[in-house]
Amino acid sequence: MVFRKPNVLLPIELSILEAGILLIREGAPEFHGYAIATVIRDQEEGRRLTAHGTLYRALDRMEKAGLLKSRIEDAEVAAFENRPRRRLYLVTAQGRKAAEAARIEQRASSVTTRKGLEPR
Amino acid sequence: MTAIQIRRRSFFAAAAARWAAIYTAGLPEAARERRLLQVESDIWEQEADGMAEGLAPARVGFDIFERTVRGIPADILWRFQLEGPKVQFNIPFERITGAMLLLLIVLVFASTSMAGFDPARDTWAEELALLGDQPGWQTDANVFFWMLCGVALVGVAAAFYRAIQHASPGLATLAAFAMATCGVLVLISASMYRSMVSLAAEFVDNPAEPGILTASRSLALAIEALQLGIIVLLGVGVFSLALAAHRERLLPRWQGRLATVSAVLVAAAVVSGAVEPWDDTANWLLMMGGLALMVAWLVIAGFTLLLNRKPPADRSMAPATTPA
Repeated sequence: MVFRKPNVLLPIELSILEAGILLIREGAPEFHGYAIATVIRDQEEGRRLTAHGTLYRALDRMEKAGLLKSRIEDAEVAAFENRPRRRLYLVTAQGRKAAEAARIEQRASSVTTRKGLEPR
Repeated sequence: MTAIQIRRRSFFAAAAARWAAIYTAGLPEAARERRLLQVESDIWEQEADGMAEGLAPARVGFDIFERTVRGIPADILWRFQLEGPKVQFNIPFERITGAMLLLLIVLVFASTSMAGFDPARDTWAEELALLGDQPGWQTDANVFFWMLCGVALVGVAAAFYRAIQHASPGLATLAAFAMATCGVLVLISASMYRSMVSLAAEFVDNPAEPGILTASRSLALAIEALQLGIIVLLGVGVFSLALAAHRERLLPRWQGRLATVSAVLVAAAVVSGAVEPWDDTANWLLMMGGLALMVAWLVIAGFTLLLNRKPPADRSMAPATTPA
């Protein structure tokens, strides 16, 4: 049951994609859930860490939509660091295009709003 | 990267992990494992982050818990969206059996506490007067509660039969028969008790009425006899369950021995009670010891089955390997 327009990203999805793209630029293309939550928190001032339910539901949804792909890390890596195995996500080309399209649309709508507010 | 010691998890962080286990219960294994791994990894990372920042473990745990609570509606929605309109809670039968064993403890206490009076001949008039002075609501509440226990015992019998008949048909039949019969006896005892208290009220109004003492004492003695039957049948039922659980390797061997000792003590009490007067101290100690061990087994086995955890293939910490 989805109540949303098709091909429209939800705010959390856009935040995840933008944070993922930022990490790609910083040389860390793959990210796990907690890492992306901290990047989103740091980018958006005053925001708390995204709740587990919201975050992982969005990540799973985006993976199904082809915006992300994921893999489970090697057991040996996790064992060496004595921690649970991470599920690592990567923004796909489709995800980058979707994020770019959403940014363009956001800019366009903010320009329209500004034009509407300008004194005549 | 250096190896990091396994940390002692705070209460709040453990509660957050437990919530994930609860809302994913009964899901297909792959979907469940995926979500549990995501959450466990996240909790671990947040704890490690908090430690690195020098935050108190309780504070980190609380932050994790607060994050979990904010996501509860999304978790529940995710669950329903995953399963579609037909939601199936495929809870392992071990957990259901464990919960029923714990329920049985309540029923054991309730069913064996009905005879709260002394039907000895020389003091019966006083006992009856006390029963007659009992407030009506108290009698009604007692009777209602015991009837509920009787019905619950029959229901539990059916549930146990359904749960274990595929694995141990003979023991399932024996346990179900014993508990269902016990439930019926509890229902009969409750009815008799109601009749006895009615006679007690009449006795208080008219102590000289002939026959009331005899009739009410007959009912009291019958209730006492039924109580013995209830205890024996409960013992048979619980022992059958213990045998079935042991046979299916659901419980450790020492728990099976505990159930056996309790059954032996109850049986010894019943046999010696038939030979010696029932109020003999040794009989009483044997019976109380047997019942106490039976309740102890129900508690231990109930929680063992209810909290039965089968760690997933990927979720547990993989053993450390020597780097090449």
